[in-house]
Amino acid sequence: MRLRGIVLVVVGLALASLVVAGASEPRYGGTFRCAIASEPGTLDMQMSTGVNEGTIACNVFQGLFSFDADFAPQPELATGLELDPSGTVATIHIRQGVFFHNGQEMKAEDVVASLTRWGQYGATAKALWSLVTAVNALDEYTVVLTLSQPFGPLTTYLANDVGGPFIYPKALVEAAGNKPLPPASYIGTGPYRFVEWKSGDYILLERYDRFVSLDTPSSGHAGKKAAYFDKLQFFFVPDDNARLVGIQAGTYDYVVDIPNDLLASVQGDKNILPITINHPPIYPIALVNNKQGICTNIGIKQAMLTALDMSDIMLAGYGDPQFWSLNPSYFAPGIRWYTPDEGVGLYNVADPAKARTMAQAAGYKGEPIRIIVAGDMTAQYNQAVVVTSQLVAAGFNVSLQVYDKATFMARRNAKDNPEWELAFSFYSTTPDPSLVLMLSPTYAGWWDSPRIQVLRTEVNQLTDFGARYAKWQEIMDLWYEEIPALKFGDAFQLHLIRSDIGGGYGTSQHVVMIHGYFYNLWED
Amino acid sequence: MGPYLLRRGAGMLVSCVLVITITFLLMELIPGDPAAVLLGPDATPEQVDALRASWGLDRPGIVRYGFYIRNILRGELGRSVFLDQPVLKMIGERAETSLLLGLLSLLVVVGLGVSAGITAALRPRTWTDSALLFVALLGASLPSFWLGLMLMIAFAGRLHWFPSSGFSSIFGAGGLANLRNLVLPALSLGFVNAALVARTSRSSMLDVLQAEYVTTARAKGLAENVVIAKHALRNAAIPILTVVSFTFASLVSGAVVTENVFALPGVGSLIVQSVLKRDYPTIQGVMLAVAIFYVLVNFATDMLYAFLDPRIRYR
Repeated sequence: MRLRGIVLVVVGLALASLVVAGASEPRYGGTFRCAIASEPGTLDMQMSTGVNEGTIACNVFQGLFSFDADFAPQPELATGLELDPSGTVATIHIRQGVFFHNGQEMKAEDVVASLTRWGQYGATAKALWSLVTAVNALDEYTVVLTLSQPFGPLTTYLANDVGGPFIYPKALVEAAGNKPLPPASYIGTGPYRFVEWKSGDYILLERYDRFVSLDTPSSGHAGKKAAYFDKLQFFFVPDDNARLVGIQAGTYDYVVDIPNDLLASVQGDKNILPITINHPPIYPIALVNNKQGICTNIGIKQAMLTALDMSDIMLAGYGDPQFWSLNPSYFAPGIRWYTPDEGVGLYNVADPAKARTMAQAAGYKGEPIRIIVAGDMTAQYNQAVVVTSQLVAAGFNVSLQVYDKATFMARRNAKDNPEWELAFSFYSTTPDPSLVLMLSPTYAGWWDSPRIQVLRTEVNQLTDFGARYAKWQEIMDLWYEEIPALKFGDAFQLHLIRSDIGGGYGTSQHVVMIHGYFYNLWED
Repeated sequence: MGPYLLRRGAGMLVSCVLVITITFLLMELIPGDPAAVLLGPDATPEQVDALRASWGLDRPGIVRYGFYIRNILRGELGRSVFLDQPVLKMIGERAETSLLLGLLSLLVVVGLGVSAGITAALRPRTWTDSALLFVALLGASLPSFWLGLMLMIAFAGRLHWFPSSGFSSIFGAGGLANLRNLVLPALSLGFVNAALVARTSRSSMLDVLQAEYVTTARAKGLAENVVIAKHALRNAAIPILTVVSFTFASLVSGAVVTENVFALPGVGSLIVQSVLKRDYPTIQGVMLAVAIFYVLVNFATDMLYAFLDPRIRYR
């Protein structure tokens, strides 16, 4: 009897470890049902930088390179990239036998057309494309990219999956021009093909049987991709509680962006696994209007930073401390651009009396600090309320202005006459400093001091990682000197997945990148 | 009848032109544009400007208004800037959900509201009357989203009797069984809206039951159920019909919160999503469709008045 008990315990532990490790055997079939919080604007990921959009689109489209779990670029549709000794001519060999979802084989002309359109209109192309002098097809499977000067993060740009150079058929990109591709033109090379977009309801993808996967080990978006599920269906479920109840009821297999304080509702439910997305996190921030008004005074910005208690701000936005951490660095620990010694003595000072003195010394005379925020971005709104009270306590004259998201975006981006001092937002991890939008003089905040102008050029010209990292540290030092934005910390999102989904989603086996992806998962 | 229909048609046309114009002006007045929403928070202003220009949004408002009116006269409502689909097709897809939700909710509204109102009127100032009035007050006070969430948690999350959210066409896979998805939203919408109908039914019936012709009917020895059904209810029906018809119109086009909670692809959520995204062609198209729907419901109500009360004649 005792032996039987021991055997049962051993077998039980073995089974439990299998479950924990997500180590069940892959099998084909079924529909993966995912509830996302809002309906995407477009799946044309050359044009959009939305995370919701990317979560769906990265199952359909691929680029020449893709990021592994460490955000290092790896060949995807390319087999490799050779740079000539001058570093200005990049020869890209593309894979043969890769088929678009319309059955047509991908050729160099498709790559040239896609890169050209992305270069002209793409969301993240500007820094690279300003250096591109030509892009040509050398033969059916070779593309040559000619630059005016070396560009260190070239493969990183080609791998970027947020507003990056995804490869589409030539005819479709030429027809689309600078408009987003219409749904009928969602033709990619990925493991799933686009089937249907039912407005207000769902987007349906199904396995593409002619998909040709790499056979290198899976890591992040790179390596082997297996479409085990027959279909992926993405439902638009705006209500947080509806997503929560939906996964509890078995209506959905995976739900995103559950408010952190609802975690208790699923704890103890053996059918649901909570996933904390902390690699990478998102970074809540207040953009600062560096272009005009009171915030062109660096002393006043430093005083505002001194007033802020980041713990209270993060608590207001993200609740339980297991869902956030304080971090003055632009990037989170674990990202290779993380700068651990940043902001010491400047970040999270939380000293309103000192801030008041600093502001007076800087010449502050009660000018209004206009804070704008979108009321439907709950975390940002909550943080704006707390920041308002902390700045008021330090003697600032603060006006909190709440808008709907579209109005907020319009006001935030009004470059000619921005009527705000702080705009609450957040940013996602970028794989390279040159993709950090806040370094761009045209991005909201309009940081364009003489020193940043020099540094952002230099960081793009260098090719050695060590040298680039040192330059990035200089930029971060300048960040805490000129305060182009107020970074509050790192925030982790809560997603939920049914425990009968195999593949180790959210573990080291299937690292959730900037946006999720659903190949290499199966139904147990 | 002919002149009456002509007058109604002209009135409907004026209503629609007003709706189109007011919607257009409102969208001109509020900040925000679809390009910024579509391109996401990381887009540069140059990108946003280029996309706006490609959609023609950089043209003066009066020019765009002229184009829009011209397209309507050609029978085109335009295309959604986000989905690149004809707005008319999108409205058609959403209309099924909204109409079915509206009809199911109406069943709850009429079933609960009218029967509760009549029951309360037949037993005025009794325990039954007080209890029904209390329930009606409760219904009017409950936010529909809260009731919807409670129903969802209980019947979808715990008991698994109904799906938690979403809806697929009854003409597709699943057929009529897909109506199960609308049971919880219809209950939450119906219960909240039944309160007004119950109170209207009660007061209307109370008025009629005190009328002399009801006393006469009773004096003639007619059975009580005949007195109520044939003489009282028919005469009390006009105010009830007015409330029910406007409730139906608002259930079909304005169930935004419930559609949001239950992730239903209806017309109400289409309006809100289009406004939030500044999808101008869709906003204008849906508002026009809703205006036409209201006018038609109004017209149908007028016709029903004449059916219920033969003294009413339209000329």
